[in-house]
Amino acid sequence: MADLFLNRELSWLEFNGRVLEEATSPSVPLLERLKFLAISCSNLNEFYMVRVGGLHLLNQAGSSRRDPSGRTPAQQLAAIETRVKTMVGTQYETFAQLEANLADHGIHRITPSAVTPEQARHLERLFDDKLSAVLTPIGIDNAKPFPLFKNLGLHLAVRLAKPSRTPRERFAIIPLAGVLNRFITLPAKRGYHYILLEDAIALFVHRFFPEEKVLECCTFRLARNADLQVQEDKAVDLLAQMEQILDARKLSACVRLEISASSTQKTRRFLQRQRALSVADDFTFLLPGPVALDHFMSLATIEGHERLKYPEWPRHPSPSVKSDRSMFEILSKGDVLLSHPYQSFSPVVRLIEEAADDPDVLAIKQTLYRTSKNSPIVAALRRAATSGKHVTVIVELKARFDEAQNIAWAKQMELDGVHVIYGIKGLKTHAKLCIIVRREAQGIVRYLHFGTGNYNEKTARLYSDVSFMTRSDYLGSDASAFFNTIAGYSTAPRFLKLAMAPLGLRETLLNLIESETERQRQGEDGLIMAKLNSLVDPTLIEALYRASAAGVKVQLNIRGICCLRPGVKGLSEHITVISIIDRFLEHARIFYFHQGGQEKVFISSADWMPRNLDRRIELLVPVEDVQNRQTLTTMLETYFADNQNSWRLLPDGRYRRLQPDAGVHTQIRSQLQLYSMAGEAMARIRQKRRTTFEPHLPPTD
Amino acid sequence: MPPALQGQPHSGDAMPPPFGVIDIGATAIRLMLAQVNADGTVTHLESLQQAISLGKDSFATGYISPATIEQCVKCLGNFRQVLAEYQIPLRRGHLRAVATSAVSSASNRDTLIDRIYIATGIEVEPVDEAEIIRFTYLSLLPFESTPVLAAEADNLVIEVGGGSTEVLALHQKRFQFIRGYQLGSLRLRQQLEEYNAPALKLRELMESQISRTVQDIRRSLREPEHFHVIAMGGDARFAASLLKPGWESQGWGTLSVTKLETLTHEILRLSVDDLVRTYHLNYPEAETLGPALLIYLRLAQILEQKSIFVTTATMRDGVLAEMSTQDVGTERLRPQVLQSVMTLARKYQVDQQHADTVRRLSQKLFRALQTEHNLSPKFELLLTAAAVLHDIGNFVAISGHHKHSMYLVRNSDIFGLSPADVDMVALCCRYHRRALPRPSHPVFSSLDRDQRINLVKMAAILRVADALDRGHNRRITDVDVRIAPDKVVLQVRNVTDLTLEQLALAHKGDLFEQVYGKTVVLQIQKDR
Repeated sequence: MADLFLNRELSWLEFNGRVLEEATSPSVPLLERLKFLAISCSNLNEFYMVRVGGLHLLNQAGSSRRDPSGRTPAQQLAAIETRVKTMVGTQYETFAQLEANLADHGIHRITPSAVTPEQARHLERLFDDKLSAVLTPIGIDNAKPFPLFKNLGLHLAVRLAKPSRTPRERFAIIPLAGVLNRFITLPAKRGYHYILLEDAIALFVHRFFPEEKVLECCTFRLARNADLQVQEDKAVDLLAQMEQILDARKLSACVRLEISASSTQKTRRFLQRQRALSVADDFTFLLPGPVALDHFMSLATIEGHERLKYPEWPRHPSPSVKSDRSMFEILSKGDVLLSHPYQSFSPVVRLIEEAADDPDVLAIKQTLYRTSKNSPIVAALRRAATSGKHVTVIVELKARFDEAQNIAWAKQMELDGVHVIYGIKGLKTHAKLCIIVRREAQGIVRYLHFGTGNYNEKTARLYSDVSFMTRSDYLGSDASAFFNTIAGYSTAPRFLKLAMAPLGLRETLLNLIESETERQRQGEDGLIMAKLNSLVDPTLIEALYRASAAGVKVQLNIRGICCLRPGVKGLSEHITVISIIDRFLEHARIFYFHQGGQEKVFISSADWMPRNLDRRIELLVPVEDVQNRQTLTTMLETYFADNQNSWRLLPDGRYRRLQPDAGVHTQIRSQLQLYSMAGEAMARIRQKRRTTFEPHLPPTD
Repeated sequence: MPPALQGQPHSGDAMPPPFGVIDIGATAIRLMLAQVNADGTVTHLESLQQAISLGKDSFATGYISPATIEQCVKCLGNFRQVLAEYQIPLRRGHLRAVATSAVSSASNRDTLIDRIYIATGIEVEPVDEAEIIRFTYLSLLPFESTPVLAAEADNLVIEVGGGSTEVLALHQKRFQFIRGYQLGSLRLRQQLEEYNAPALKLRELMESQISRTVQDIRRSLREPEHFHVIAMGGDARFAASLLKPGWESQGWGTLSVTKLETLTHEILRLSVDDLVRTYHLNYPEAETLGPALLIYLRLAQILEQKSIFVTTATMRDGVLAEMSTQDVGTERLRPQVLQSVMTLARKYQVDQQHADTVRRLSQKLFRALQTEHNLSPKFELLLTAAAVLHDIGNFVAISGHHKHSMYLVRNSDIFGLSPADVDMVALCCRYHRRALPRPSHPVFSSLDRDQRINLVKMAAILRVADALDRGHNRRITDVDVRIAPDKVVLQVRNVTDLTLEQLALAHKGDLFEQVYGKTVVLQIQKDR
């Protein structure tokens, strides 16, 4: 039983390892490599705060409950520690390598000892004018409780001694979090020179303590699992087991201490032994370089240096979306499928904007999960409400990063007359859906947008997602029913076409997998292709094993966690799992079932994880018209042909980067291929337009 | 594609807003929105439902608790929001809110209806069994072209609701009998709970209750083995979705009785909590599912059926059919209505020949005067019914028989007519002789202005038609109608002396003159 599943934490670490591998790849531009390094680091932060924190609490409570892979919390923690320590080693080796390469391109990090006199004068001015005013050292007094430090904030630990015959040491801590930039640009004759904030401060730190001698000044940061409850969707499987032992003190316990390797044992012991922190050695990381490499994201996105970044891939327009036609007109001709970021997100924004300004539109209903600041979609919705349309928006406040911001614009929308629903109790609304109800000569028509990504035109540039727009009556009726259900107007109906989590999405997937299995048993050639971010759900994994055992070919493209063990004889030898890591974050969920030639293709907001299928509101949407179905199928096939940025999951849970087969010289990079395909589709249309001429006609109303 | 309702086609640029139907049942309140397309087909837009156990209050205590009333108000408030999105006015003609047994049988039903009206502006009308059956029948009409309602077959339509079970037997699409039973899925569960009996015993009690009803149904059927069962209601549809996933796309399906039996036993074995978990049902649905399926099953078995039909049609479709087709729906029920009227006439031993003559003359006049009265075909049907029934009061007493006719009609079920329509027929009978309508007359006074005008237009014609057969001797069976600016000339052939009829006309043509502004002149037509 235990051998059936891979451990989800280790599988996630493998994913992060693949991200880190991109940082070492010579084919990736230098600043992009730095970006991958920073991402692997910030991923790890979250992993510690959420997953490790949860496991740690379970372990402390003495739980010996085994996960599906058969490990106790203690065993998982041990395995995680081993893997992470190696990974952090690789991160810093990579960092050193990248710094050397960056220096070749004129980007230099200056260490305190290498500061030129001119640079030193500059820094001194900066310290006097700005830093000294902003920074507040806190003396640590054992009589007082240890101050509560900002989670993930950088801090300096300063060890001090009064010059006397019997010197008594004491510690002060300087929080660096806040308004200060970590990267300080230095005057330089050539290239870009910068110094890290902590290094700059170290040069002048003694000025804070004029009476004392600074014995040591080192950087550290702490990660806590204090956010566990807010992040309920991330660790709820752990939370559920922990309810009795949850209390605030334990929750805010420190799960990781990162500190410069140059720090002394004395300072480390001092920090580790603070009662408020109490960090074990397992959770202490000595870093042979700057703490918090995730901050180097801002260096990676530095202006200029275009040669060190990915070449720009301007987004293509969609051949089916003509700019001189309204979206309503376009959708009346047929469904539109967009593949972002290769194709522009603007038709989606246009649809909502046109709806807001169209006098025949009666109502707009939409889910908003994470959206961008100054979002044109939010602006359009507000405009629609002001002009008297019925606008209903479900805002998900559990979207983590910018809750305060979400609340602010939600309130603003309410003032404009938008009916705002602040999420659904106990469930996170993850489905992406917009319904536009329009009165036309033929009667009421509903225009729909279904997405796999958020209504956020900014992330739509970085995430690979799919948009599907249609005016299908069946989907319209289902979509309205879905919306009425989550708005609490109605109990869940039986859908004609859609499937909804937590009410039956898993069952629908199981039925599809089982139907494919049964067809194979009856002699057909079964084929399942699926692209998703994570596969954890044991029920679905077992169904896939049954499908494989029956002989169904199963091709899975899973970016992140995969608990399914592929390629095991008698269990899963017909299953292959790949993972694509490239410039865009793979995010679309697309599922294909051969069904004896009556192919069924779906897009979805849901990963195959218990959290998505049981505790989130998600959608599974069929794409039925032949052309769009074909497009999605081709996309899936393109990913499986990738031999550049594709990794194959091995039966033991490790991943191996795919290479072109021996003798085959074609290099296939799926993201580039998809981008070219989007371009070619547009080129064909342009070609066609040149041979058929279209006169301007007088405007018709 | 499920068979679509056929509504009244419309033309012009202005697309009318969609229709809304609200159905307040024993276990749920539901809203259906639909639109009539330009070609007259009906498209469903939205269906909403909220589980509210009105029946739990009403069947147990005869009274709907304030908490439940507020639940209804909240639910209908939400529904109103959706209606507003489609700009549907909360008026009859656009929206109908009907309430079935759980509301109609509650002692405080008026409190509920008033509270809902005040809070939401939605006017709820309680409907009785006869109306439910009429709606059910209307909802099935689109299935005429499918095997469900095959022309040569006999159908037994059964709808198990929370509070009652409605049965409609159709012999070659004409109805054989209709009946409502006080056997509902929720009522059944509640009654049994009162016994506090152990689970095994409960099942036995349930079986015996059901057995009595299905045997009664069987006894009421001529040649019961020829009947196909059509199971209506949410529980039947749910069973279909489990036994035949995807069946809805066709609009109907057949369920094997053997499979239904397995499923029913499985469901009755599970606790309500298990049902909710296993099938994603809500509690009211889960509570009624088992008993309802058992009723369908036992009926199918006693009629020795191998399979039963299930359709996507609901009572709401019937209400919608009536609204969206305006009068066409009632028109389609014409044969059923007339048969029902004839049965009633026979029951009260009317002079068949006189009734028939007056009917034909009324129809003739109605059609000839179409441009004058401008009434829709539905009123011809109502007038026809009144023409057949106008003398049934003679059964009670000759003197004042028009008044007896009125209350006999009002207290009879005429299948296919709504209570409002029955009132119109009854009033028409009332005014076929003697006093002209007066605002002080009961029933007449409850009509609105439009209804009063429609009524007097019909009654005026009936009075003339009755006068033409004054002697009950069928001397005049047909007339030619000529309309002049100031008079309507009726010409009769093959009659030499019209004194009696002319006298009667002088007496009874008064209303006609008032309504149509023309005198009625009866002449002998000269042969050319």
